[in-house]
This record gives sequence, structure tokens and C-alpha cells, in this order.
Amino acid sequence: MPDISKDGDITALSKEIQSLPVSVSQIFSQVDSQVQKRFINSDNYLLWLRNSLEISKASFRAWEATTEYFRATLEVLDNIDNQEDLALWADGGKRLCSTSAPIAAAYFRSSHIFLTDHGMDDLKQWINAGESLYHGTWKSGALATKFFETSPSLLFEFSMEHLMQYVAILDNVAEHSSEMAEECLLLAGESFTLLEEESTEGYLTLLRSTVHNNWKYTKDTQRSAALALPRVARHERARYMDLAAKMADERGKRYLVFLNEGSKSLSEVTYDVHSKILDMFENLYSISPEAAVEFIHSCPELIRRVGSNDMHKWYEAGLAMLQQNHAAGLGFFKLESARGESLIDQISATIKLEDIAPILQMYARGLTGGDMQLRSVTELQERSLGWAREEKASTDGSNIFLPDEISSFPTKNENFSWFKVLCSHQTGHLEFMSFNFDFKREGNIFALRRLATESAKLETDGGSPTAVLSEFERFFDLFPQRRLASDIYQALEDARIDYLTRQAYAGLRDPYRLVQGAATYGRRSPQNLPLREGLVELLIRMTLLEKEATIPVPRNLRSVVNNMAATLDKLMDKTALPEDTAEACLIIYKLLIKVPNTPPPADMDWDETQIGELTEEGTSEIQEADSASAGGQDMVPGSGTEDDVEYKPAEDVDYRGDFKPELVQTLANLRKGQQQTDEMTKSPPLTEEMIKQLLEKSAEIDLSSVVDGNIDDPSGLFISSLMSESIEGPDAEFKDESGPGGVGKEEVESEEELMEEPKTSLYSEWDFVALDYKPNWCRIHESVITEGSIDFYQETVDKYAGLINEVRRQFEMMVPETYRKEKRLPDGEEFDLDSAIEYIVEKRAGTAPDEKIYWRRNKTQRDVAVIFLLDMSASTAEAIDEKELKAVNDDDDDVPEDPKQYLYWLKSRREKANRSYRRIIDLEKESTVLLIRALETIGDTYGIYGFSGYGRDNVEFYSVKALEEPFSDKVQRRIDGINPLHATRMGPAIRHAAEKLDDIGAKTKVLFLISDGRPQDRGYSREGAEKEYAVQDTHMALLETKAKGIIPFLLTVDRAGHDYMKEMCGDLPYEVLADINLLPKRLPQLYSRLTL
Amino acid sequence: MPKKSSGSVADTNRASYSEYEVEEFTIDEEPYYLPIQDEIEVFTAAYEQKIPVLLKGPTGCGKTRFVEYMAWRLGRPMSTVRKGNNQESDGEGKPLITIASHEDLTASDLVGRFLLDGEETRWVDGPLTRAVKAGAICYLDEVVEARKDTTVLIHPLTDHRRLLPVEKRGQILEAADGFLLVISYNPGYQSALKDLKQSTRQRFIAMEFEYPPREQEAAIVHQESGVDQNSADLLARLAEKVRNLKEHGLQEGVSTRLLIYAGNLISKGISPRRACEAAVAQALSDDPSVQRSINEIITSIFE
Ligand SMILES: Nc1ncnc2c1ncn2[C@@H]1O[C@H](COP(=O)(O)OP(=O)(O)OP(=O)(O)O)[C@@H](O)[C@H]1O
Ligand SMILES: [Mg+2]
Repeated sequence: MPDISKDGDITALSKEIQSLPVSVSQIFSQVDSQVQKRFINSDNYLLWLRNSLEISKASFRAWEATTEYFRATLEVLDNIDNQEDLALWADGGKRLCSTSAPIAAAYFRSSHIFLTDHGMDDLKQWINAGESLYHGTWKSGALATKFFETSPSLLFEFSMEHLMQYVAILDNVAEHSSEMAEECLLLAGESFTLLEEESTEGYLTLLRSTVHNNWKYTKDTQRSAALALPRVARHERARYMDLAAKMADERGKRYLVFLNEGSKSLSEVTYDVHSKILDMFENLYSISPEAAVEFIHSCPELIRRVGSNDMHKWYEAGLAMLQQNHAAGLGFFKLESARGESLIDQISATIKLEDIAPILQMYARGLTGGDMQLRSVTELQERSLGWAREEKASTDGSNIFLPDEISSFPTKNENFSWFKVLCSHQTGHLEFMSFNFDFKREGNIFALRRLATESAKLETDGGSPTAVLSEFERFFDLFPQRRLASDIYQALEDARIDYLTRQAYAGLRDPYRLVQGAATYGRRSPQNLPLREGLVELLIRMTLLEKEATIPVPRNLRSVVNNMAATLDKLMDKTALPEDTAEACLIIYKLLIKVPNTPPPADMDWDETQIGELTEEGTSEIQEADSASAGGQDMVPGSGTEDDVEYKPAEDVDYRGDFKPELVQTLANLRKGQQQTDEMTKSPPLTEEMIKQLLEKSAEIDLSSVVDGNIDDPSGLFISSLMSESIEGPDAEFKDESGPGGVGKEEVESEEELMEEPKTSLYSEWDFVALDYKPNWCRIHESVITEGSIDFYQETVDKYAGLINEVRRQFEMMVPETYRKEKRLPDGEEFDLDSAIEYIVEKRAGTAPDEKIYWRRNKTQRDVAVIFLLDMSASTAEAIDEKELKAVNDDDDDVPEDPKQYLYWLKSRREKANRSYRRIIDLEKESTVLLIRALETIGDTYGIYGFSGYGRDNVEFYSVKALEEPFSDKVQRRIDGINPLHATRMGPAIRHAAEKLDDIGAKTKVLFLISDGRPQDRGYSREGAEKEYAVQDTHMALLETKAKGIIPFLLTVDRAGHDYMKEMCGDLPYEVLADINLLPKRLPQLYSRLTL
Repeated sequence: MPKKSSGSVADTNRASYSEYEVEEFTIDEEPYYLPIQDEIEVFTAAYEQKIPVLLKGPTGCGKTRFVEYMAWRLGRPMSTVRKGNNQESDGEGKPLITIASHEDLTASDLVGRFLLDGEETRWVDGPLTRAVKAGAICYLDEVVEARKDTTVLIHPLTDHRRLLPVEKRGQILEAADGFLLVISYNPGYQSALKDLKQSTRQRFIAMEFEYPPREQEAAIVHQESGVDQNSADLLARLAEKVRNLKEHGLQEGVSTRLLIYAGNLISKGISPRRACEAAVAQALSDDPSVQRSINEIITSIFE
């Protein structure tokens, strides 16, 4: 009900407003009626009118503010609905207007934007902030006006509190220069949008320090910060700002250099190294700020040259130099020092095993024809077999161990050559059969004297033959000085391998020369060694050097050296066998054991002599005299050796690494589960005693490395390691990175059959060793997969729009193609040429022709049902490609300068970063989407299932789309629910899927399995045949499938798949996809091919 | 070398047969073939007993060459089979008809079809029919590639009946004496969802071909490519090493044929490393890391 008295007031007030200047009254009339409508309560309306008049009287030129007041009202009313707030809003403006009408006008203009996001408390603060900037001057008024105009948009990015802090900073700047403050304010938007919660504090601190120390740089700082922020990895922005603030506190312009140049450097490297660089920077800064700035400046070039993984090596060297000599260190970090340069060259020439392992492994497999594994020598050290003491290459017959990196040479090529020689030497041991030594077998070059020596020894010792673990043990038992024999044997056998390798591989001769030449540097001088050791050293040098090279020969031992040279030369023969090495070893041992191991007398004469000369002399001198005396005496030290110092083993030759024939043979024998069997050593059972003996006498086992800290009973540890090796095989120690779902050994598989349970199905499993099925061995749990987001499906469709169209076209074309031609029809699409000719021929021949001369494509022919079975094992969580991982972070070359574009860029970047990298499973999922689009085109019956599980009792089988279920939103969502889970027990999953297909009627049935690796699961193995078992069961499951009239097809994205796929699939079709990125494209192709 | 000759196996009663366009050969000159095992004896015995032969083995290992050689060799002493009445065929070999199978190879392609000839129609024998009539050796290469119905066609031909039904003409041909069907098949190929049916398989004796052992392969490469003996030795050694990689990244080992290509390049002055890179590493794989591994083997073997 209208209130008459109020009506009167309203009329009066309106009239008064109408009498204001025309610009004001006009606006009023424009909004008045609408405003009036918005006020349910006429009191409010009255208040509104009254306020306008008050504002209009608040100051000179107040009409400007009043106009804005009217203009803003309607929009403000969207956010304010009560009288109190309305009054607050108007009063604020009134107050402002009483100081300055333009400020108030700006206030009213921006207030509705402000109010969309903020409440009344904030409004008060906001007004205060603006007011605080005004100090009665015209300039400060302009600043305050600007503030009201710009700040609402700033607040999208900033909290109220931070805004207040910023205003305080501005006010400080304004004390010095209002213009500067105004410019800063205008720039603020640029940087504010880039700030995140965490980096804001640092940014504000930076500005505060700047204002405090160099207020003139405030604008520059703001601008630089805006430039720097997007260049720095998000998670480091806060730290970056803090660092800059800290530097700004120290006066000077260095922090600006840091902001500009430093961030530019960072922008030139990938985000993932920012943390590392800033760590180093921070650390260095505390020592020398100057050097730190140089350092960050040099980073991009450094990383380009040595890679981010190795930059710390360079950095640490620089740090050390800096601490010794500041100027030198500074030059180093500026990249202006020769030492720094050579260090960079060295680091960048380093070759890492991990980078070349796949190539060399394949190379080794090619050369040896075996299933070699290339491993890091550190893995060998962890085996507690007393094997490797240092980073030395080695082999145990099925693995080749190589050092983690090589950096001895100045270029990458040379270092790679070294790796290759190292590897070739080890493969040489296998190719030329170092470990195939047979004690009784005669060599091709030297006469067989081992047997005679053995019986002579037994006669002298009066002992009886003892059981041995290997042929080598028996051989080395001949030598009272086992260490010496072992050194000689190793030198000779290595020489034989090198010789044969160089003969067979002409292309390796040059690298070999390089490596062998380098191998003699830094070795102990024979002149400084006790005589016998000195001679061994000479022997080793002779195996490394060319015939033209010289070695120092002690004059009075010339004939011994000659003899060694001649024997060695004789062994260098294309037909030489390890048995020949053994005989040569015997000969040289006998020569050396007679030489006392005493320090050479000071007056001893040494002649530098060419090796070729020694060989010639030796060959003519050589008397087979010693052959007659096979007695035991010449195996023990002769007279004059009473003062011997203990014989110390010879230094290894770096590139030849560790050669442990006795250990390798022993392990191989233990693994075979059979000890030596011959007339001497009748199949002795392996006892701890025997191992202990081996341990005590063998020269090849280095107990100190077995102990690994535990000195008490090294032999105990060794024995248990050896035992476990022999039982579990070499791979037991080197866990392959299988283990999804914890493929633990601890759970012993019981031999019982599983019990029937509701909603699960039981399947038998094929045991290829027993050649029989294990009945009801695996339990399948089938369930519908949990739904994920529907976006995934749409996104994929968008992403692959092009490919989808292509595939669909391809499928559409395929449809008519597959419609079989039906011939000899009374009518149809066209004449069948053959029948037509027949018709004419027969008609001419005068007989009654067959009139069925048409053919037609029969549309009902295509009748295909397919199940797609996806591997959901944990390994599908792997990133597709390390490179791709990088690429995500790497594409920041062209950060847009324009702030708007920048924001857009930033947004898309963030989205990318959230996903960060693509996994195998993502591609599986995407491919599924593509396939569905295609399948829906041709109308085949299809089901999509995933499988994983852990253990035979828990084979998980997930339905994404059941065979005869129609395609729906649900299915779309379920695709996103496909995720990496546990292990891969393929057999039961295949059987279950085949069962499903078997239940429906279709002419063509296909089971299409997509996997990323070999089948594996806990207990999906058999002792001694870990991988084989799973492969064989899978093979059997596939055969069963085929027997059901279903076409099984296996597609693997495991590039190593050729290793086992052939065996797993036999004659059944499969494909190993070389590049997983092809999956989305390849899958439909294969499918169409399969079902044609 | 085989010499192309048209109408060499023509049935002289029918003049039209001289218009054959399908390639067929009488092997006049002795083809170079280095026996690896007892394959010549086995094949000869099978031929004499009229038992069809299935040759298995990887690509480029000498199957085709072997059949050519056997055609020549068998033709020689068996003068009865020779078509003396054909002037052009003065060669001494046994006629050999080679058919490369492909997905569209139909029964008509093998047996023959009617052609229109002006107002007339004319029947033209297919290669199989010709071989059957002429008593030739018919070599069906890569038989699994052919359409299923063609394999059924050869069933009556390859058991004791030795009959070829020529349905369209209402005839049944009995194979002439010297006729023998030889088929080849590469079990390593996984292109096939196609598998040889047991009922087809079990009509043939099967001979497994492997790449020749190192020394013989070197001799073959030396002979065929004209490369020096030393390079041929090294090529054979390379082959041995590369074949170790089969199923360790390579689907198939390097073929003798490729080695001969490498030899050809080398004897034309290409450096051995480069020749092998092109003829072996690149030819075998598109995977850069596999190529690199093979190249490392190459650079180890060749200077
Ligand atoms: N034992 C051999 N004696 C002589 N030459 C041989 C021998 N083995 C292979 N060759 C050579 O290898 C080349 C390839 O052999 P061929 O063409 O016969 O292979 P194929 O087994 O038929 O291969 P595909 O299965 O690809 O047809 C021949 O041209 C020949 O030069
Ligand atoms: Mg061929």
C-alpha cells in the first residue's frame, strides 16, 4: 500500500534532482524508473534519492560523482540488497567526494566490479586504501583515482590483504614520485596475473626492498619480475622471488640482472632442472654473489654441452676452484677458463653405460649367439661372491658386466670405442670359449702335459685325487703357487682372446690399438718389483704391446724372458684353445717359479729390447727339454728362493677386466646340478667343505669384498651366496623389474585346486614341464570396471578427429569389400565374365546354356564377433617415452609477450602439466576409443575387457563393454576407468575371453589381445623356468582359443617382444609394434585385416 | 642361366598354345647351386617316386635356386621327358613353371580359362594345366598367399591319382609322367592368418632349408656376386652374427640374397662398411637402435 507522505518526499526529492545540471538529471531520468522498480521498499528508494543529493552537494564538481552514482546503481543493486549496505556504499562515495569528486567518480565506476567478488568489509578496506593514497595534492588524487579504476581487476589475482600491502608500497613510491607510483600501478596487472599464492609474498618483499633501497628501480623491478615469472618453473617461482628480494636488500642492481638474465637463462633450459640450478645458485651466492650470477648466466650453454645430469661435476669443480682462488673461480663460472673448458670437454665426452647398454647388449648377443644380458658391474658387486673389487668389466657366462661410465678419452667416439673393446673382450671369452676348458683335452698347439704333471704331483705328494667343482679347479690344483699360476693364466688367456678377436674382427684392430696402447700407461715398473713379479709384469706388457715396442729386460734373466716371449708367440694362433693356454701357462709357470721373488739387486742390468727380438731369440733357443721332466720338483720354487718376499698378484689390465674362469665354471656346474663326473672325481655331492676349500685356495675370490663390513665369517656369507646362486640361477640376484603387485617368492604356491565360488570361474593352467594341466588352477573374478570421467572419450575423439575420419572411411570401404561375391545367380549387379563366356560358348555350341550368369555381393555375409582384451598390468603406467616427458616441459621457446596471449598460453600449459606425461595405458585407452568409433561403423559385435590380478586366485577380469551390450555413455565412462593395476597372468584371461566368444554364434570370431610385455605373475612360473612357464601357458591358451574356431591375435607394444612372442604365439599371428605411438593407427588396420 | 622360351612345353596338337605369355623356362645351362646337405638326393628320390615336395625356409636362402637347379639336373638324364619336337627348346633341362602366389590367385588362374577370339571362343590352359600336360616341374612359390580354393585344387594332383580336374571343360587331366608339384612356404612369416591346412600339408614331403653354413655361404656369395674371397668370408661371418639377433630385435636374419647384394656393391667399389650398412643394417630394420647394433657388428668385422 503506497505511503502518501513518502510519496510526497519522493516527488520533492525527484524534483530537486531534476534541477541539478543537465548531465546529471538526464542520467537520473534514464535510470530512475528501473531503480524504483528494484526497490521493493520505498524507504530504500528514498534513501537512494537522498544520498544522491547529498553527494551532489559534497564538493565542488560533485556532479561528476553523482552521475557515476546514478550509473552504477543498477549494477550495484545486483550485489547489494539491504538498506544498510546501500548506505555504506553511498556513504563511502560521499566521503570520497568530499575530498575529491574525480576519486569518488572512479570509486562509483569501479565499485560494482569490486562488489561482484567482495563483501562490505572488503569495501571499507578498499575505500580506505584508495583514500590513503590521497594526500591532498592533485597528483596524489590522480593516483587514487587510478587506484579505484584498476584495482578491481587486480583483485581477481590478488587477495585483499596483498592488495593492501601493495598499496602501502605504492604510497611509499608516491612519496618519492607520484608519476612512478602511477606507472607502477598501471604495470601491476601484468605481473599480478603471474603470481601464485606462494610467490606473492616474495614478490611483495622484493618490491618493498626495492622501494626501500632503490625506489627508482621500482618500475623496472616490477617489469622485470613480470618478465621473469613465466620463465621460471612454477614450483620455483616463490624461491626465485625470495632470492631476488634477498639480493635487492643488498643494494646495487645485481638483483635486476638476476631477474632479467637469470630468468632468461632458466627459460633456455627445461623446467625440470630449475630446482637444481637454483640450489647451486643459492649455495654459490652465499660464497660469491658475483660468481653466482655468472654461473646462472652460463647454465644454458653448460647444459647444452654436458647435459643437466652431469652439470654438478662441473659445478663442484668450480666451487673448489673458487674457494682456492676467487678470480680463477670467477673465470671458471664465466666459462672463461681453460681448465673449465677441458673439464666440460671431458664430462661431455663421457659415455654412460645406460645410454648404450641396449646397443651393446644386442651387439653382444650377435657376437656370441647367446642370450646375453648387459649389466652394470655394480650389480655384480652386490652379489657377494667376492667377484669384482672395482669397476672392472667381467662376465659370468650369461651376463656381461661393464662399468657405469667411461671418460678416459677426450672424445665421445674414443670413449665409445673403449666401451666396445671392453665389451668385445668379454664376448670374446664366450665366443672363443674361455670357459669350455677341459682338463684332459689336448690343445691344438702345445702337447698335453697336464695329465703327466698331475700324476707326478700326486706321486710326490702321496695324496689321492680329491673331488673338484670344476675343470679349472683341477688344473689350478697342479700349482703349489696358485696365485702365480692364476696371474699367468689370466695374462695368457686374455692375450689369446685379444688375438683371436683382432683376427676375426678387422674393424676392431684400430680401437684395440688405442686401448691396448693406453693400457700400459701407469702400470708399475718391472724394475721396481720383486723379480718374479717383475717378470709377470713383463709378460703382461708383452701381451699388450706390438712387436716393435720395447720392454726392459734384466740381462741375467734374458733367456727366461725369451722363453716367455716365444711361448706367448706360439699361443697367438688362430686355432689356439683354452687348453693351449693352460699348457703355455704350465711352461711359463715352470720358468718363473725358479726365479726368486726378491727385490732386484741395485746393480742389475736392464736392456730395453724389442719384443720381436725376444721372440725370435726365444724361438730358436727353445728346448723341449723340460718336457722330459714332468716331475713335481719343477713346480716348486728352486734354490735361491729362500729369501722370497710374498708374491703379490699382478695388477689387472683395465680394459680386460676381471677374468674368473674357475668361478664361472664352478657356478655353471653348480647350476647344472652336477659336479664333475669322471674316473678321478666320481660325482661328489656338493658340500660346504668343498666350497670352503675352494674359497681358501682359489686365487679368484677376493674375500675382502665378500665380507662387505662383516668380517666375522666371510666364508659363511660366500657359501650362502654361492649356494643361492647355484640354486636360483644367475637371474635370481638380478631381479628384473617385473614385480607388479609384488611378485614375491615368500608365498609358496600350494598344490591344491581351488574351490568353486559364486561369480568366479575356474580355469586350468598348462604346466609345460609336467606336460599336463594343473586343474582348476586359476580363479577369474569378473566385474564391471569402475566408471571414470566422460571427458576422456570426448577429448580423445576431438584429439584424433582426423584419424577417426580416416579410419572410418577405411572401414566403410572395407564393408563392401568383405561382402563376398556370390556368383552364378539368375540376376545380380553385373555379368560374371566367366559364366557369360561360358554361356555364349555353349549357346554357340548349340547346347542349352546355364542362364545363371550374374554375380552379386551378398550383404549378409559379414558376421564378426571380437573381444579386445587389454593388459592392465602395472607396467602400463610407464611413460611412453622419456623424450616425450621432456617435450611437455620443453616447448617454452616462444612465451608470448602479450599478457593476454600469455595468460592463454599459461592456461594451456597448466593443463598439460597436470597430465604431465602419457602412459602406455593412455594409448591403449585412446586406441580403444578409436576402435569403437570404427566398429560402430561396421556393426560388428564387440566386447572390450581388461585384465590384471595378483596370484592365481585373483585374476581380475574387467568388463568395459560386454560382448552384446550396446554402446552407451556408461561405456564411454568406463574407458576412462581403465587403469594400471597389478600383474599379467595372460593364460586364464585368454581362456575366459575365449569362453565368452564360444558362447555366441558368429562366423568369424577374433580374440585380440593388447599387451605391453611378457606374461608374469606371482607363481606364474616354475623353478628353473621362470619366464618360460608363463610363455608356455599363454601359448597353450592361445592354441585352445584357436581350437575353438576363434582367431587369436596378439599385439604387443613391447619392443623387446620379439624375444618371446615367437615362442608364445608359434604359428599364430602376432605383431610387435615398433613404436607405441602407432598404436591408435595400427589397431584398426590390424583389425580390418584380421576380419577380412 | 634359365632361358625364356615360349611354347617350349606346347602340346603340338594345338597350335594356339604357342601364344603363352606366362613365363616358363627350360633350364638350359647349369644353374650354380652349391649343395648344402643331402637335398639333391632327397629331391631326386622324391621326383622319381612322384612325391610332391614342400620347401620350407626363410626368405632368400636358396629355395628357388634349388628348384631351378633340380629342373636342370633332372632334365638331363631323363631324355624321355624332353620335348624333342620343339625346335626352340634345344636345352637339356626339365621344363620348370614357376608361379608366384598372391592373394588373388584363383583356381582359374592356375587351370585356365576361355577367351573370346573374334567370333570364336578359345580355351587357354593355365600354367598348372600346362605343367601337368608337359610333365614339367611346377613350382608354386609362397603357397599360403594364394586363395584357399586353389589349395583344394591341388589336392587330387598331389595324391596317388595325379589328376587335375578342368571343370570348365568337363575334363580330367592325368598328369604326364615327369610332372611334379613343388610348393614353398615360409613358416616364419606371420603375415599369415593363413596357415597351411593339414590336409594340404600332408600331401608333401617337406624339406627344411636354412641359410648355408658360413663356409658354404661365403663360397656362394663369392661366386654369385664376384666379390673377393676375403670379403665374402667376412660377409658370411657377418651373416652368422646378425642371424644370432633373430628374435632378439630382428624378425628375420639376413638372407643370402642380401649378402650377395652387399657383395655386388663391394665389387662395384663401395666400401664394405657402407655396403653392409645399406644391404644389411638398413635393409633389415627401421629401428635406429637395432640398426646401430648391427652397424657396430659391421664396423667390428670390416675395417
Ligand atoms: N645353395 C646355394 N647355391 C647357390 N646359390 C645359392 C644357394 N643358396 C642361396 N643362393 C643364392 O641366394 C639367392 C637367393 O635364393 P633364392 O632366390 O633361391 O631364395 P628363396 O629361398 O627362393 O627366397 P624366397 O623365399 O624369398 O623366394 C639366389 O639367387 C642364389 O644366388
Ligand atoms: Mg624364391
